[in-house]
Amino acid sequence: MNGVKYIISKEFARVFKDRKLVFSLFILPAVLMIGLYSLIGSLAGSMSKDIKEHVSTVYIQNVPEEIKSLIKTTGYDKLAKITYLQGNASNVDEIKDDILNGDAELLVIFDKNFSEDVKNFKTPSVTIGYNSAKDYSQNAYSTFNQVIANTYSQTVIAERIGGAEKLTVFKTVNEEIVKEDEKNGQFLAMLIPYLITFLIFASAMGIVTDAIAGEKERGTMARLLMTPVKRSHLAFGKLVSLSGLSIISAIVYAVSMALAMPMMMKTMTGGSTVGFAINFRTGQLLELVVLLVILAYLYVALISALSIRAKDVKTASTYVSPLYIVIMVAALMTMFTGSRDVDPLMHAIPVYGTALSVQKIMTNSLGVVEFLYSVAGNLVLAVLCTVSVTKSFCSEKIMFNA
Amino acid sequence: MIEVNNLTKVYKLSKNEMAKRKTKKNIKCAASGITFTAKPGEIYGLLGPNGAGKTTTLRCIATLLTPTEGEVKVCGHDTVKEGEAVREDICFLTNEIKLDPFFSPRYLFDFFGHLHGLSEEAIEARRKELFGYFGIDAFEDKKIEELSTGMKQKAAIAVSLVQDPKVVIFDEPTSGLDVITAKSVTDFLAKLKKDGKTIIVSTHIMSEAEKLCDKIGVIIDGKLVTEGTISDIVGKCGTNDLEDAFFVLYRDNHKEEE
Ligand SMILES: Nc1ncnc2c1ncn2[C@@H]1O[C@H](COP(=O)(O)OP(=O)(O)OP(=O)(O)O)[C@@H](O)[C@H]1O
Ligand SMILES: [Mg+2]
Repeated sequence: MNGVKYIISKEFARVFKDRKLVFSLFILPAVLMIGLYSLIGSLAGSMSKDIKEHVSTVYIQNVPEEIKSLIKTTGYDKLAKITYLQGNASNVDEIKDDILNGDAELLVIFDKNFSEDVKNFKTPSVTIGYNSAKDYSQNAYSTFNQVIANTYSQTVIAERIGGAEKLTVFKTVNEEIVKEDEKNGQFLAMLIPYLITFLIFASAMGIVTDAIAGEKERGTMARLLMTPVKRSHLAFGKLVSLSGLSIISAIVYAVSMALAMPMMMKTMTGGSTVGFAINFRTGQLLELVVLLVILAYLYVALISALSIRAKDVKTASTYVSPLYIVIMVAALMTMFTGSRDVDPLMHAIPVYGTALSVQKIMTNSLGVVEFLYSVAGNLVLAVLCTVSVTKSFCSEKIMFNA
Repeated sequence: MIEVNNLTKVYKLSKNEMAKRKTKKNIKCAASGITFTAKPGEIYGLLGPNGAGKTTTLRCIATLLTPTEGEVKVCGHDTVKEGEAVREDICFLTNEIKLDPFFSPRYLFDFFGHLHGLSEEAIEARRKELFGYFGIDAFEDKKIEELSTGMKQKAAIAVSLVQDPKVVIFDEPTSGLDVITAKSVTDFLAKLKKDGKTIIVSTHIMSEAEKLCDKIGVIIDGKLVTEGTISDIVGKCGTNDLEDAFFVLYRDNHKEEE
C-alpha cells in the first residue's frame, strides 16, 4: 500500500505546485462566483427599487369629484403623474397605444354617471386598462387598486351600513407554528442541494479527465504501469487523491457561495438578511460532510471509469458530458420537490438521493434511515465504478488499445 | 536473463481499425512463434522493418501486453503470473513512454524510486550517480516541458533506471537524437553491458546494430526469421555486410498481405 501514498502526494503536487492550475481551479471560480452573485443581486435589487420609485403616467376619464379628492388626501397624486380627460376625449386610442409601448402605464375610465349610480345602488363600472407584460404598468395597476379603488369602495360601504366598525366581522390572528431553522432553511433548501451536487461534479470533471485521460494522452501512464505497484493500488491512489482535490474545490465553491449569498440578499432586499441564518447541529454538519465526501468519491470514480476509456482529454470530455447533463437534471429535480414528503427509498438513488438529503439537512429534517439510504446508494455505485476502473487499469485493450 | 518461448501476439481489430488498415480480417498477428534467449552481459538486437512486430515483442517482455500464446520469462519469473516481480527487475524505455511535463527530473526520479520501494538514501545515492553520468544535475529542477528533446531522453533514461534493474529493454534507443546524444546513449548501453545487465534493443538502423549488438534476431512480418552473431547472419546469407543480408532475408520472407 506504500505506493498509494506517493501517488496521492504526486497528484496533489501536480495541482498545488502549478500556480496557473491553482488559479484556474480554486481562485478563479471563487472570484467568478462572488462577482456573479453580487452582480445578480445588485441588478435585481436596483430593478425592484426602480419599479417602486418610478412615477407612473396615469390617465383618468370622467373622474368623479369624490375620487379626485380621495386622490389628493391619499397622496396618490404624488405617486403618479395624472392627466384628467373629459368624457368626450378623442385620444383614448392613442393612450392605449402608449400603454402598449410602455410610454404610459394606466388608463382609468369611470362611467359617465358614476356618482349618481353609486348613490342609487346601480353598480356602475370602472374600466382599468393596463399592460400586464410591463412591470411599470403592472405595478401602477396594483397601486391604483389598493390606494384608490379599494379605499373608495370601503368608504362607500361603511357609509351605507352606517359605520366602519360594522364592516369587520371578525379579526384573524396569525400565529406561525414553524421551527425557526426549518423556516430559515427554506430558501437555502431549494438552492444549495442543487448547487452543491452540481458544482462538485463540474470541478471533478476537469481534474479527473486530465489526471486519467490526460496521462494516457501525454504517454506517462505506461511508466506508471511499469512499476511494481499493484494495478489496483494505482487505481485506488488515483481515485482517492482526485476525490481529495474535488472536495477541496467543492469547499472553495461552498465558501465563496456562503460569502456571496448574503451579499446578494442584502443588495436585493435592501439590507435584511433574513432567511439566511442557519444553525447546523454538529450531527447535521457531520452528516453533510459524510454525504459530500462520498459524493465526491462517487463522481471521481464515475468520471474515471469513463475517461480511462478515452485516448485523450478531449475524447474523455465527450464521454463525460452526457453524465454531466444527467447529474444536472438529478440535482435540479430537488428544486421542485420542495418540502413534500418523498419515499425514504428515493434517497437510495445515487446523486439524486444525496441532493434530497442535503436539502433535508438544510431544514433540519433528515432522518437516520434516509441518511443511511443515501450513503448506501452512492457507496454501491462507487464500489462498482472502482471495480470497473481497476479492471480497466489491468486491461491492455483499454490502456494500450491492444 | 530473458527467455522468450514461442511468443505469439494477436491484436483484435475494431471495425474502425479494420477500415483504417483497409483489411477484412478482424485480427492482426503482430508476432508469431518468436523464440529467443538473451543472456546477462549481452546486448541482443531485434532488427526488423517498420511494422515487423518489434515493439509488440518488447511490450510482451515488459509485461505491458499479455501474450496470446507462448510465454516469456524474465530472471526466471513469468511475465503473466508474476508481473510485479518481473517489473522490479526490468526497465522499459521507448519514445512513447514519456515523463510528466509538469514535474522536474529530480521529482520524478524520487517518485519512481519510491514506487519501486527504495529508501531515501538509496534514491539519493542512485540519483547522484545517474544524474552525474548524464549531466542532468544542471537542469534537475527544471520542468520536463522546458527541456530539449535530448535532455528529456537523458532524464527518461535516468528515471527508468532508478531501481538498478537487471534487465534493460530499449525500443529504438537513438531515434530522434542527434549523433552526440545518440553516442552518449549507446556508450551507456555498453557500460550497462559491462555491468552484467541483460539488454535487448530494437532498431532498424543497421550501423547501430552492427556496432552495438552481440547477437541479432531478425523479425519480418512477426516471425523471427534468423538469429545469431552478425558474422553468423552475414555468412548464412552469403553477403558482404549486414545490410545486404537484411535485404536478402526481407526478399525471401516478406509476403504482401492480401
Ligand atoms: N494496438 C494495436 N492494435 C492493432 N494492431 C496493432 C497494434 N499495435 C501494433 N499493431 C500492428 O501490429 C504490427 C506490429 O507493430 P509493432 O509496433 O510491433 O511494429 P514495429 O516493429 O515496432 O514497427 P516500427 O519499426 O514501425 O516501430 C503492425 O502491423 C501494427 O500495425
Ligand atoms: Mg516500434
